Amino acid sequence: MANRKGRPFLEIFALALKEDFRFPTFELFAFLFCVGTFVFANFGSTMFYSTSVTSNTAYNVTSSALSTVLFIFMILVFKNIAYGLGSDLEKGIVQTYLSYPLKRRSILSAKLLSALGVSLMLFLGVQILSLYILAPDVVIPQFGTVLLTYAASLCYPLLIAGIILLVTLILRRGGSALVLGIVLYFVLEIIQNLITPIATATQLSESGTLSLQIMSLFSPNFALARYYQFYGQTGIHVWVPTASGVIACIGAGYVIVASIFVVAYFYVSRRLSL
Amino acid sequence: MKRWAILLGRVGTTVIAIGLALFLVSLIPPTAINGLSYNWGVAYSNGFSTGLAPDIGYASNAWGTLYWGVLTEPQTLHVNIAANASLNVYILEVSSSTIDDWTNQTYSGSVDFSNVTYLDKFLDLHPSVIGWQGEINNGTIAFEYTPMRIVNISLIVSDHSLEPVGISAYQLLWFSSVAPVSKVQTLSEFAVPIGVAFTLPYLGNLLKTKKKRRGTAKQ
Repeated sequence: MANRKGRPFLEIFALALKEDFRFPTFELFAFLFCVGTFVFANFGSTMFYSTSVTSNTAYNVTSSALSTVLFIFMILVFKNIAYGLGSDLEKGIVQTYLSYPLKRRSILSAKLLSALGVSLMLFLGVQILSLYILAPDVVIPQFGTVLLTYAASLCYPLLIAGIILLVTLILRRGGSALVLGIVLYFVLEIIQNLITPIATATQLSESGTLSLQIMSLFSPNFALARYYQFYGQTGIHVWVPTASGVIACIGAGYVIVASIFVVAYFYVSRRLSL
Repeated sequence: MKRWAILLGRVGTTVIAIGLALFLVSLIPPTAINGLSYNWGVAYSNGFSTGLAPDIGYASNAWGTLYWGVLTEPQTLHVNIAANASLNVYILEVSSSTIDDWTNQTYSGSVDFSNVTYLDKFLDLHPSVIGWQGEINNGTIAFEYTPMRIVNISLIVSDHSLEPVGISAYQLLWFSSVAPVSKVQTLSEFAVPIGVAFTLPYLGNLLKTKKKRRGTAKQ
């Protein structure tokens, strides 16, 4: 029975993979992820004053390696979700998928596994391999911090991916969702950069701290960066999270992401008319 | 075409892409990130030259540390030293205080820590700490050193002669690569052939399919 159910799922997954990663898309992004990680990680140019590797070192190396490569990863996800799924909806290819003996939510799962899951596997695989080659002394003893940094940094792209998915499903047009996703990404980036000076300026009021906390829910890396930047320093009046506070932010961030995806699944199962 | 061949082929092309990326990364030249030098024989006071600088002197049978710090794998230290006598030069993968601590623990009573005998004994017992060693014979020496991990390094000179000697100049330059070049090149050399081997069944199947198509078209 399980075999009979699994086969159509794999068929759709294979079709989605073929569509999302036409030659040489997968290879090109693997190349970009690999080169980007080495070029943007500032590990070599950092002068160390001690051989002891702290979690702060691991965070700095991982986040510097992530910076621009994360944007390349987002381009791949935007392409797969907005352009791939959007054009499938627009051209009516999804109706062909419905002829398979599968529930709608399984079809969406197969599409997402290809668009998001495989992209994420490629991204994390290449990044962690490159970081290991670059700084094994940092990655091995501080592997927990490296994973925490990835968890915090990926929450924000996944949130935008979820919003794009929802918009694509509602509008049934990939182009509009793609534009909206790019705009949303840059707007959130600008807000992240503006919110710290605003919070510092309004440090006497509660709103300054509140704005930072709200931002940390949507982008937990913001809280993690503040933790490593300011924790233990005196004279910092604006909110600095504790370690448990950062983990709570990451958890809350993923709950928000999961709820957006649940809404998308609900929409596909109950509301999407084809 | 069989799906396993397609999957293997795509894995192969991805491995080739990663291998090429690593090869490209290994070609990026290192950049200077820091420098330190003793003025090659010229001393400056308030920004003005005041003539020849005195040598950094070492008593007979003594050793001294020119520099100690921390170096990481993608970094390379370029060293130039000029001396007026015969001197042994070492890059040790420990801080110089480790040698003093060892001397203090091993020998009781009053100890002249700068005596070269203690350094030689330490090196005899701990040969693994020697990262590089060489000798200056009344002239200059230039070398570069790249560690294999994050490591404390000490640039040490030792005088085994009965005469006091001096170093007239030295220069240290730190260069940083985007990746550990030798490691990345080795991985690239392995990755590309492995990728090609994975791709071969896919290419074989592709050629067969094309031949079949041509045959069908002719008929």
